[in-house]
Amino acid sequence: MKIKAAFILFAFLAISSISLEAQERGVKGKVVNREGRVPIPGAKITVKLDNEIVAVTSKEGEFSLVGIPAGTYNVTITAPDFQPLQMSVKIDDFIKDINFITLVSDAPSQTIDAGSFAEFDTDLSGDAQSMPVVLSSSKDVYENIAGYKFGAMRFKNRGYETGTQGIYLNGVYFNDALNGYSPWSLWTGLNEATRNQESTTGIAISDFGVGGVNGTTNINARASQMRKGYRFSVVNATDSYRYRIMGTYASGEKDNGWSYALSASARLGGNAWVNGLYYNAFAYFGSVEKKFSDQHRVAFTFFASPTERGAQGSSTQEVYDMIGSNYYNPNWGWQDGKIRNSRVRVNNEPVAMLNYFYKHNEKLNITAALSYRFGRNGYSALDWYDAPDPRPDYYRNLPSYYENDPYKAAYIREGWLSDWNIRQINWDRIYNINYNSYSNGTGSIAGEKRSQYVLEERHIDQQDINAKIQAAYQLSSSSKLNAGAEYRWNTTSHYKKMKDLLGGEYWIDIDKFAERDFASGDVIQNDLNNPNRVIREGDKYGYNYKGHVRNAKLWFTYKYNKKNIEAYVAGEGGQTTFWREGMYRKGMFPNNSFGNSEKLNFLTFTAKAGFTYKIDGNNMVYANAAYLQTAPFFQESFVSPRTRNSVVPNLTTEKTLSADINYSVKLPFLKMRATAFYTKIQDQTKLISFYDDINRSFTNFAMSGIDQVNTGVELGFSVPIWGGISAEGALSYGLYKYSSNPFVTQTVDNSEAIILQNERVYWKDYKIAGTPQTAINIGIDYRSPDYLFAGIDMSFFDASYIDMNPIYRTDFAHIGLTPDESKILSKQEMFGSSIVLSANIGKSWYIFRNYNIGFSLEVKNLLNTQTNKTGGYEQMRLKANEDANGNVLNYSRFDSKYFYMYGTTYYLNLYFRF
Amino acid sequence: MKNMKKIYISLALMATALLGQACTEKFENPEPFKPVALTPNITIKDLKARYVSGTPYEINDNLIIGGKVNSTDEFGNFYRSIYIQDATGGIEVKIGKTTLYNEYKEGQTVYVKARHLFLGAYGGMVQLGEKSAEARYETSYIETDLRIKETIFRGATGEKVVPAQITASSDIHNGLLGTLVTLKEVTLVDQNMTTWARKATPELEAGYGEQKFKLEGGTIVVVRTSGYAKFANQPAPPLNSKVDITGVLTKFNSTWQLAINSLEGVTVLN
Repeated sequence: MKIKAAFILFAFLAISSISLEAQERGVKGKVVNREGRVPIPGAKITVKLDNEIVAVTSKEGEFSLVGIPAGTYNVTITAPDFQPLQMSVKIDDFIKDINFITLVSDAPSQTIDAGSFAEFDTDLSGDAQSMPVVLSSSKDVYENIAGYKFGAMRFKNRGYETGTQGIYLNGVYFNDALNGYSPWSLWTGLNEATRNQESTTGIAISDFGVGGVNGTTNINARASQMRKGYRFSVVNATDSYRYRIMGTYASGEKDNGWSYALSASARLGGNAWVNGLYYNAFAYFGSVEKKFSDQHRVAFTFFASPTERGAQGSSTQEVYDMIGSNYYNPNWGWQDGKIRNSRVRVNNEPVAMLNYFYKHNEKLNITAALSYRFGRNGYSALDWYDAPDPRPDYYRNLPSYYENDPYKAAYIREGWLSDWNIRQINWDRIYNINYNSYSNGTGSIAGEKRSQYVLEERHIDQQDINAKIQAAYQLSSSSKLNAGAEYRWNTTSHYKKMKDLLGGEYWIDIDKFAERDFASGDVIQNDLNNPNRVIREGDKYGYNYKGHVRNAKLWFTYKYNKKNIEAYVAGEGGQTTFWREGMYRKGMFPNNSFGNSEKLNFLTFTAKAGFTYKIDGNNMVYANAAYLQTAPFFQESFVSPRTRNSVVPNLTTEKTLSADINYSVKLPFLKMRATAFYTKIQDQTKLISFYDDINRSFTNFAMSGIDQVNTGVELGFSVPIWGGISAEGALSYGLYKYSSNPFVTQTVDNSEAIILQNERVYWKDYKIAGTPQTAINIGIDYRSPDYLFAGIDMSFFDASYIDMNPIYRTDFAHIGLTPDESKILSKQEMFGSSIVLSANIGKSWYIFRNYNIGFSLEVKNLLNTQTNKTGGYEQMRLKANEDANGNVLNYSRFDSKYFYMYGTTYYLNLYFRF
Repeated sequence: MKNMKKIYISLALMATALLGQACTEKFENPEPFKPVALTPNITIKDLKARYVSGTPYEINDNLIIGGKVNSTDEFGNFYRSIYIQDATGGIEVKIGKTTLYNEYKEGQTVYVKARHLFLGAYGGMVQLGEKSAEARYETSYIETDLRIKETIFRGATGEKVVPAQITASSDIHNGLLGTLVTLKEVTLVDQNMTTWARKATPELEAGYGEQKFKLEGGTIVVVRTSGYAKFANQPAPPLNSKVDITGVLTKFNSTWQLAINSLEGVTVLN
């Protein structure tokens, strides 16, 4: 019925506009998407006179309505997938050109805030609570819901690692060169400047490259792409930082072809749930762009997010239960009457980028880009020499360590509950040990205090240069070819820096583990080229090496569409070379640590194809398939990168085969997408480095031959119910599991010894960790014509599994166990299901048409549930069970560590735009 | 003009952001620790005398002993305990932590509020420790942080203990157990290895070294050294060497033993 009515109105309008044109009164303009300022065809413009007159925008988004008597009218602009807009227009004696009318996507993008999760990717065992699966709002009905709402439980799209999503900045691939991680932390706090995003989902190709199997997002962060005007906002929140202020100005494109944009923000304060977490984060952004002619355009962009952030550590359930809170953080202690966190991330990695756009003609567009990322990225931690482990929840400081001595267990518990210096880091004791430390060990300086405890800062400082050139050629009205060449040059320094001597005066750069085992001599030196080096604050020490990565690729995409059919093919060929360059000559490995390692070379290729069949205007079926090879990452490729050049055995490219089939419906009363997917990933490698209690040394697990299969279905729908109220929902039901028994080789940082060589890890049919494999969200949304929105939704998560310690599933660890004990050791914990209720409300007002003021408030976890596990991992330790004479009988597992979702949090945003 | 103003505002915003980098929180260093001064109400000798061989003795009254630390675990030959001595004698206090030298310096006075601690013996040597959960040991380690805080008090640091000089068999007696002594001009008559001890290797576990020294008058004192000592693999003096050697005097049943803090305590005379 509705469609028919619209048609009649349209017909009426068409007639009336012809007959009334002579009067030449009316209104015209162009309707564009706020994100990317892309024209919106088919938008409906309604003017209320005695009856309604309606116009529909053309392919270029343009409309005009003529024949309206002078006066002031309410004009409503609506378009599918966009929020309706109302404005008041005064019509005088001519056709008024209201230029651009920007519509905001229907996606709940205004509630998305990169600041609250963005740093997550830098540390996998990390400390962040939630991260959205997809950051940008998209037109996809599933993605809109899943991308944001599932983030609460650290949901991973289709069970893939976060780094599998391709992130492009102004068209340049920006995922981390060393480990593939998403680079969100580079522009965290620059939400306004990076708001203009376009994304693809799953296997689909993007306009900027072939992409992978987990979608792509391109961020258009340059002057002409940002919304014109001033925007200021103040945020008060409880889930990561306390306050945020942000100011942004964009000039829009001026008559002289210039445009420029500036943005800055500060995020400050702590977290309502976990002590020791805080933000001291700033961000700035500047971009200028010049359109020289219709053919040439150049943009320069520079930004950085200098951030200092206190991190959260996980702990065991024993500790959480003892304290009575699942939000215990072992990383901090009292000092100077304040909370001091030992684990602080400090990063300041500016990015400079130059973009060039050349439009040869209507058919051929060429773009070129050059980017440079540099700066510092550090993560502090306590380090100690010949002194006890200062971490309060070290397993020997817990009641469970005294399971055979209830008297001491009770004292441990009492200590935890009564004394902050036992429950948390005892800074006072640490400083006092350093104050009185006049050691006469190797390299000591008489009369100076040699620190036994220090704060180290582990640095991963990147220098990353990307060059890209791309051409898009419209071959015919039905086919388009896109091709590009990319080169990446990355050199990254990994080292430890002495951040704080904590009341002492110096440190000696020797390997404490080697000293313990070998007492003295060259072998204990961290750098034989500078033996017994005295370290002061700011000096590098411990380890120091560079990772060099060079990557080149060529790719193309070809799209074809005709009538009811769309199809594409795409291919990519790449070459990656990387090597380690040791800056120190390690005493243990004098001939295999200093200088360049062998150069590792990998050739890779990717092929993709997709096919869409439009059954009619509202129903379509489409399918994609991809096969890709990726080179192993630098950080997974050396058995002990901190100490030597030895390469992980059996290193090879990772292979991914993936396919999906989709059905999509777009009707006035139902929007829906249903998908089934299958992905097989083979020959993955993984390097896990940790302190091994049994060998009392830093050791490394190098795993190879890890295969996995991810299959599942996705469903998203949206149904308008009545008067601005709609119901929407998303479902992801997957089965993600390992499909091989990989090998593990264990090496030690301070010895050539190979502790385990190519030991089988029985992982087949165990589950992929780190994401709920079932996730459902159902919500009710309300949007009024006068910019009021409100919503409430419920999520259900299930089938989350713990991150596994490979050793627990080796023959070695099961020696001497009964079948029942074996089962306990190898069982993978599944977390319980959880239900999360959230709500949001917002309103904005226009003042004098030009000024827009508003707020949005989101409250998460309304039920204040504090028992939802968002993640966890098995500790990399085995517990040796000994007989009375100290002989090891067998091994059992250590308690696992967990992260929990916060209780109720809110996020209140007040904004002012003009 | 209006545009200039906009630029200024924006620049000011950016400047604020840059300045913000400087406002990292600063923490004052903690105060140096203040030595505790307690008044002992029993001597170490009298406390040890309360122990009757064969049964752990729980101290039920508010006894305080005080003495100077004469041992150090800095070089690995002592492990999870300190020895303190006053004018009357010395005793092993089993503080079950490693690297105790960081907080209990040689020469530093340490007080022990001994209520609810236990006296027990190992090889005949009386030790002060915690109640043992295992029948085979008479005491266990004082090792929980709260218990250490309740019972062990660190006093002023001071000069190291002056060792008693033992020049002949007649000088050695049980009253010196747990105190620092120097065996003067003793002769190395036997050894189970030519190094002080043996560190662990991939093939072999760490092993104790035993160097037997003979006092004037024939008494043998065994210098027993842990394979975890940092100096374990250092060569011991050759047989028949004459040395002055300083360490804590102990006894294992009827065998006199000496544990040295470091090789500084060894002077080879010939």
